[in-house]
Amino acid sequence: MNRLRVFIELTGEAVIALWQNRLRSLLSVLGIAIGIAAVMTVSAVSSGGKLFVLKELETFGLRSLWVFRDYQDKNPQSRIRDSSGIDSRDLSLLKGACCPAVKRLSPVLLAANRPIVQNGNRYSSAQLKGVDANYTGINNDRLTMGRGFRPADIKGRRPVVLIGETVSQDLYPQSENPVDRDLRIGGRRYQVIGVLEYKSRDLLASIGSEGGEDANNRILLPYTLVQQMNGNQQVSYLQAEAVSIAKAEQAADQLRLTLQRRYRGSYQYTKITLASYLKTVDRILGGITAMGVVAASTALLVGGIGVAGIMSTAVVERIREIGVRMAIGANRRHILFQFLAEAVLISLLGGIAGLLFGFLLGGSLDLLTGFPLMPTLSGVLTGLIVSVLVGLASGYYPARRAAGFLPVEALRRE
Amino acid sequence: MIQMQAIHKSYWRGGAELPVIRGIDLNISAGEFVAIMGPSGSGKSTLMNIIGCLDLADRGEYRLNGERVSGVQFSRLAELRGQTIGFVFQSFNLIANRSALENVALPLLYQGVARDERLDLATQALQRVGMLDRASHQPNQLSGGQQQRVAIARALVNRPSLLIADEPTGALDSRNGDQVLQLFNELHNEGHTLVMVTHDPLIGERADRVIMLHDGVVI
Ligand SMILES: Nc1ncnc2c1ncn2[C@@H]1O[C@H](COP(=O)(O)OP(=O)(O)OP(=O)(O)O)[C@@H](O)[C@H]1O
Ligand SMILES: [Mg+2]
Repeated sequence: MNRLRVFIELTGEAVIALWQNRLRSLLSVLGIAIGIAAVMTVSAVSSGGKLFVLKELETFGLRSLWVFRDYQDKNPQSRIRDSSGIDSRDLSLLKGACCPAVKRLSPVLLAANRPIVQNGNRYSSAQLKGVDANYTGINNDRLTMGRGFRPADIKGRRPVVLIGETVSQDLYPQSENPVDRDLRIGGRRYQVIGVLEYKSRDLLASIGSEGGEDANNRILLPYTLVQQMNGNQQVSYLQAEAVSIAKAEQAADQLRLTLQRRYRGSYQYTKITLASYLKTVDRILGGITAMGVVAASTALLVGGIGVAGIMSTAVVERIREIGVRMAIGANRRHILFQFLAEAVLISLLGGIAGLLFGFLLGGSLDLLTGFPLMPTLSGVLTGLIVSVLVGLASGYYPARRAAGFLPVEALRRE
Repeated sequence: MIQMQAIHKSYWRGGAELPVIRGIDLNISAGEFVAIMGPSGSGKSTLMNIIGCLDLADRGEYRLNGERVSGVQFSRLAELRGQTIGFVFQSFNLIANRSALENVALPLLYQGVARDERLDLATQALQRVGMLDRASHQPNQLSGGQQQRVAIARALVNRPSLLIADEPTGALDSRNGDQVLQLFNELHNEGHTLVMVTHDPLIGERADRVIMLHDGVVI
């Protein structure tokens, strides 16, 4: 109990010493604060950036996967076959027992030619996609109004469409609700049954992964109708949802290999999963974060060296005081503790200041860029623990030096 | 109280041994006032530091209250300095920027005494040396004599059984020096064991015993 009290009181002595050298203490606190703030900001930017990218990828449904014919097939005979390699008859097979990792599946058909899309004298350049009733669910599409496709729409080849935000603006006056209104595709009349929610894919569009395609300039219609337009039973590709992100690769392979077996010698198939993009994003952001962390850690290291320097100076300046304290009963552990406590207090104050600074910086970056910066509890704890460790590391050598003197040696110094 | 046998201490200068204490036997009993005298460089301070457990002898045996000091752990030396010995220096050695009261209370901190009790005991000690009215003054606001009296209060605050003073009046003018000596005299009369280095033959006369050092040996 008494021993514990000594160490508590020595912490008080450390506080007094820091206060008596407040300008100097403040400077070294600042050094640590800058380092911690830098580390904080880097980790916040990286977790914020990851969230940002995830949010965009989520517009595809994170469990989405695509399976399509591999046109780069090495077999020259099969390469010349002009077919998508998938047709309606494959669908019921693929929806069956072959592919337990697949939760649901939709054929996707792109119109072979671009028919004119119009409403009176208003025109749209929308891309046409034939899909089935599962598609919007798989693709994480929501409707702002109206309803989605029902199996009966698909089976009955009903002339109904879902339109994107851009299509709605192109074809209908602002004041009008497009639901239940008509539009014409290639002269045929279709009824709008729903409007798809706006999708932001700024990042993906900017890096070209969307192929310049505007996610909001599309019209979905029953794939059976597009087949009719195209005049054949082919399906351009499959989009499916895996039962979980972890099973995405497996689900895609189940579909791909089933097709491969069925068309052995004729076609090869390939797949894309969003899960693999997630890994890529993780890798890229991990790389960027690592570089940032190195830079930020350098700042922290400099701060730590600053504390070590200040503490070494303090030990030299106060060596006589150390001798006096020893002469009146301080043992080596007491001296060691007092100086370590000073270093740790400086660092901890620096850590707290750095965290506050980091929050402010993160907050203002957030406001400026709309880029979400996430300070996490674990980030805050890590910041505090790291600053304590920096204090211990930078204070250890000077404190050891202080504690290592014989009382006479320390008292003799002027 | 103090038993020393064949104590040796050397310093090393540029690879050469410089013997400073060359075989000293010394016995001091409880309650004695012993003055140590001798020319400059004869090893008085070195001997005092060994007695005060601030330094260790190279060879020989030193017993304090029957305990073998040579060879104990550093932490035990610190305990001895904190509990058994009160040391008064020629240059006062108060901690700057701390009040007289805080300076006097500081040794108690290392003994784990609670703050209120520390201040209580420090107040008593300051009163004993007649410095209570300057309790809140910092060292640089005190005269040399006042600083030395505060330092004596600090040496007394742990109620040590042995008081050691290395030329306590060396840095004082004669009037202040006399006051400090008067104080030591009183403390001795109250029963403190007192070992004091001095150049002043008059002090030597007040002591129970004078030990003359010359070139590291008692003559
Ligand atoms: N740290 C040291 N390194 C080397 N030599 C030292 C050291 N300390 C003291 N000495 C030498 O030891 C000898 C005795 O020194 P000490 O301080 O004990 O003498 P003193 O009797 O107290 O002298 P004074 O009356 O001047 O205080 C001197 O020759 C001194 O130069
Ligand atoms: Mg001396």
